Amino acid sequence: MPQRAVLKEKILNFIDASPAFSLSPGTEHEQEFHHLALEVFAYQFENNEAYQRLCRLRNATPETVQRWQDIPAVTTTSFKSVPLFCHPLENAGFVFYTSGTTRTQPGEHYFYDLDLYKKGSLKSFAAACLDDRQRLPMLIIGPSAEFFPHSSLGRMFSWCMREYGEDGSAILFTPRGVDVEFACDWLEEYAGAGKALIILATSLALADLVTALEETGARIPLPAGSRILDTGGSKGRHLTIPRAELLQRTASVFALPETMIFNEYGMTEMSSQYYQTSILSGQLGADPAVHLSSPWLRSLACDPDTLELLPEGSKGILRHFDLLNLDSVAMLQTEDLGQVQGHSLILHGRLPGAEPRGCSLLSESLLSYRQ
Amino acid sequence: MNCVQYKTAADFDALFNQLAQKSEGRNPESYLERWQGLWQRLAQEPPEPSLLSGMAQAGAMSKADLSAGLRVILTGLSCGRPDFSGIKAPCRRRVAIVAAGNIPGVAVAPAVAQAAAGCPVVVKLSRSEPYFLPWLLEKWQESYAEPAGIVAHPWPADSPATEALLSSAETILAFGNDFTVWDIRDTYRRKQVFGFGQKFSIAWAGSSEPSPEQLRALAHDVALFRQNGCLSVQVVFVHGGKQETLDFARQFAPVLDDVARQFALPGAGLQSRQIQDELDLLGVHWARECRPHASCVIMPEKFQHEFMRGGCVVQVVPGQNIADAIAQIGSYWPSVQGVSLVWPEAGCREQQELWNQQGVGYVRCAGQMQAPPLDWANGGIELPRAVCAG
Repeated sequence: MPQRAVLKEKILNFIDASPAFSLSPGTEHEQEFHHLALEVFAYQFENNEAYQRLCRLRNATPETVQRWQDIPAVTTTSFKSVPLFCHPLENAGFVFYTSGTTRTQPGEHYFYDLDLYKKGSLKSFAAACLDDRQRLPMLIIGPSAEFFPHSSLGRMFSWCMREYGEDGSAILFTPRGVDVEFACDWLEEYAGAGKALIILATSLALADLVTALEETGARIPLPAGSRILDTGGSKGRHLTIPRAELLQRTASVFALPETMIFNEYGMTEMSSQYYQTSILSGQLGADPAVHLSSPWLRSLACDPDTLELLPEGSKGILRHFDLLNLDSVAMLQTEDLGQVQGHSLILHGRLPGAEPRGCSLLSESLLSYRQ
Repeated sequence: MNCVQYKTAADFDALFNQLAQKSEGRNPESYLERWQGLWQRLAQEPPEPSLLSGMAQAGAMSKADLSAGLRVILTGLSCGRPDFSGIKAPCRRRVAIVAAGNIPGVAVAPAVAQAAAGCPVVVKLSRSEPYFLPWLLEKWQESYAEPAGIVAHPWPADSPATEALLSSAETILAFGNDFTVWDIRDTYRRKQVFGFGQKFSIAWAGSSEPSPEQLRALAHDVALFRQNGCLSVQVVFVHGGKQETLDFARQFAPVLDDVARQFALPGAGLQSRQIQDELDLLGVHWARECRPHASCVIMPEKFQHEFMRGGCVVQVVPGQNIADAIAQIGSYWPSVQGVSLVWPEAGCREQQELWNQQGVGYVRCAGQMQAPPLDWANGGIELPRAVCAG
């Protein structure tokens, strides 16, 4: 059996055998994760030529790296300039693009297939957002595979809808933005029927919908048990509303407790996600402010200047090791700030000035809202 | 002034009319003299802590960087007088300025120059730099009875007020990335639109043995505002061959790092790591002097457009002569905004003229790049004549 297929099978088994979430890695899973991480590193070192070059220059090879924490990271911005793929590019089954930034070109994350991404994200989503429910009426106001074929978030939202959305679930977000009228009709219909529902949204789309409802003075009280999952995907636009305000306004417009507005943290360069939901905090006794990862995603905090690893619980820039990134690079150095304790993460936003900027690049585009 | 009340084009029509009325009888010379007196005074005072805090937070720059930068900007603005010849009567064109936020105060000189000519001026500030111009306007109000004739407010880009403002204006000065400028030109094609898009600056170093003062001055040209401005030096051409260039770069790297470190925010080291990662992943074995904390000097054999990244990453490359440097820049040549000269004093004037002949109007001795004078013709556009004459 080829090396990739063996590794993929092992990771799929690891996903099956692991709890979707826990506060800290149990000894057994920790060992298994550790072995798999080193195997994934060895595989990527051997098959990803660019990554191998970088590792050699950092004096890190499968022979010298003994702990998953010491596997060399690549900065997420590298996805913008180098194809980081363990196969010839013509064998890429899928490519996801990072959404518009001020950089000259978007990042590209290549996949041979999406089996690991799908399996991991569906298991995490269901455990984090659905509790014991099998299906819920689902409204997507964010990217979907149908309208945004190169959005990784869109792919995940569409899988979630197919797997866990009841008949009548709807995608009411296109490249033009949220279809506010239809979204309101849809929500009113389900609210009228008294059925708990779920909205999957980007923070910006949610803000647009909430603002539109506020402007008309409308409120759509959602039935008990309804929930909203929002994520930071902005499609190149900036969210100007502070998160606390968005939560408060969303809760008010939909007559939902703020605890039923969940958050997901992920990125195109990564195949796994963190979730902050009251379901998880309730089940695991976690601090409601923390995001939790599944066992196949581990994170570290690093010193923002030296990039040295910091002790657990320290605030630093986040480095993630994602077992599901089998076809690219598993260890990613981000520009996000946070504190990590086991599988728990407290997010502190982005490093100030992290976005590389050329002359005048910070002026907001006036086009985005006209589209 | 409560700018939130301005929402529709009619609101902005009324605002422009009100500003125009207040500008009646304005004498451009004395108006500019007052502004320049104010700037000169402010340049000598330590910046107000509340201003620095706000700007640092909004623009993701360190207070040390801003503190040094504001002084340089104010000093620059205190010099030069725009040319009002050819403007026969007081110009009453309603001018809207869309300001970028990459460095402080990009709208200050055009706003003041237009207001001096008699134009009512309304500035849409960037959310990343909403402080400096309003602070200057406040200082003006404290100092002089005469109205400044300028209103500035950070209306969000996606606010209807921004569209209303631009609809009401007769002239738009648009600062921003090329996309923003193109978008404004396209949308308001019937209006007079001047675009100030993405540009970068270079340095021209004439000696492989520059003085420590020159290296430090050049480091300021790179590091001020974390290399975010169009007058920030992104690439240094060293007159000579490979060895002279390497020698220059190796002398320059520690000086740049020292200056960059003074201005750096926590996390500046990540950008240095990013560039190293990219070079390593690409298998590019250029010489480099990347410091863990704040800066990275890379030495490709030729100019590499894709490695102009800001964040104190600078290329040092050989240039046989000016023509060779221009040839290396190739199709990006029209984006060159200015040249910082690292040249022995005796030959400085001659080099300046040579670059001027190539169409670069902004050529300064190293250390003066971020101090454009009030009459600087950004992009070759002479304000206020371009707006008002003819």
